[in-house]
Amino acid sequence: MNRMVFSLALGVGLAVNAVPLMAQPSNFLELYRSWKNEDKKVVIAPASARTKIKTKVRTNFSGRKRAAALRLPHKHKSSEITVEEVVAGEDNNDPFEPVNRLIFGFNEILDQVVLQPVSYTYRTIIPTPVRKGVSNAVANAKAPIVLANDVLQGKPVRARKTVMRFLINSTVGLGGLVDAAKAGGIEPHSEDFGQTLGVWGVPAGPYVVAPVLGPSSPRHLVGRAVDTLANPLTWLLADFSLLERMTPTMADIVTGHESIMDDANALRKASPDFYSAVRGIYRQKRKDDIADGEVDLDDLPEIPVE
Amino acid sequence: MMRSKGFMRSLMIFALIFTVVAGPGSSRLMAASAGSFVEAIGGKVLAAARAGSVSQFRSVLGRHAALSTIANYSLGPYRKKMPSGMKQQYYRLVSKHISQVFARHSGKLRGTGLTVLSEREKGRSAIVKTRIKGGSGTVTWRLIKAGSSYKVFDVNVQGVWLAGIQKTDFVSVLRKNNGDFNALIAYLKK
Repeated sequence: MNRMVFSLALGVGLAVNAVPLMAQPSNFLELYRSWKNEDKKVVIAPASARTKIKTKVRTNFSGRKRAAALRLPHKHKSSEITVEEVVAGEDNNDPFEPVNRLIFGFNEILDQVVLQPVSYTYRTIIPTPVRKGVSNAVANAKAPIVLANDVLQGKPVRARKTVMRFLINSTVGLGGLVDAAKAGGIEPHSEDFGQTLGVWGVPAGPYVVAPVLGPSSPRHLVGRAVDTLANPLTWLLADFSLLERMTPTMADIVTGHESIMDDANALRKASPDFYSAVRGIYRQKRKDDIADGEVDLDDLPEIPVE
Repeated sequence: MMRSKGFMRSLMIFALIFTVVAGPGSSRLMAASAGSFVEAIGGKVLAAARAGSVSQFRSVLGRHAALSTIANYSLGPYRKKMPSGMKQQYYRLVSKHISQVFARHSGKLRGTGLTVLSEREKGRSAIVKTRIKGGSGTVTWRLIKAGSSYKVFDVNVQGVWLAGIQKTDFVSVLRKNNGDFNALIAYLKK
């Protein structure tokens, strides 16, 4: 029965989304051409210009700001970037942009052809309280990973909250279906090994768009791999079939996608360059996650003087 | 695709708050601390969100946001290249643009007021962290000193600063059009 519903959803999704996509003059190729043309318009700064920026940074900034500013990417559009932006960490650090845009285009098509139809179907046939319950259970299943990273980051208060949430939600919350801990005032938080590496001072590295996974960085990708290996579910399900092993991941993807789908579509429609918008939001969000929402005044961009 | 749940939602929510910065009767905000400034305007911000009117948001934005500073910042590396004769029109369109974004998504801002959690000042800017009463999550405000009071420069909701994202959009338009400011003006007029 489940397979039938899934197949039906996929079939309808393909019919609704793939046909119009193919009728258009190849979105994928257009995307490829757009970055190619865009790339031609950008002047890559010669070595002399890069040296000039670095000298200016050394002269005008000290300590951590200077260290951050001097981490210029290998191939950088530095002719269009001010010293202040480099210092503020607002430079794109996207040396693989052409390849990233290509993968982003692939992910977009995957999103339109598979994820959106599945999410719409999920939303249509599953009532809101049940969807909320599934989402809560998925979050509860991640608690061991969150706890491990709380500990690795040396945050005992957050670790205690994670333990309390897991115990309450797994019992009173009917196996995680109800977020009883939140109702009791213990707010959820997320941690992953990518964040732990960030707390330990490991740089994120260049922006990377991974197939299927989306916006990422080398540090984030390593973190994902470690979290997957450290997740007890990975080992508990090791002897099951591939479909069964993938069930928690698929549930995570579908519930996560369904919850952001409307906002993502609105952003997709309103943004002049969806790729750049996603990159900007991803970087800011990861930085905020690592800092646990605390804002460092020194890390904020300079306010232009009128 | 496997982004965190609040990942995209952030852009929509912060866009709302950014544009709504207090209403009439701001004189009592003068000489206040950064925290009390934000607290005082909080009710008006949320009330404006409930009204959802573009003209009301434009009025509020004009009073208490550092509009020209935000608009200049949003130009990124093109900041110094904009012809001076075009600036006033650009500022007006930025105000309208942000107000429209807010009006479109005002239904997402729920709450009865703001509670100040912390405030810090450094140089000419201040950071105020708040929580929406009856809502969820925190909102962080970046203010700049304006005489004896403040103006809002940026707002952070769920980890995302509006001004940075708006700059990304504007710079994308300019890059795609070889730095032609007429293209940006046309984009803002849409």
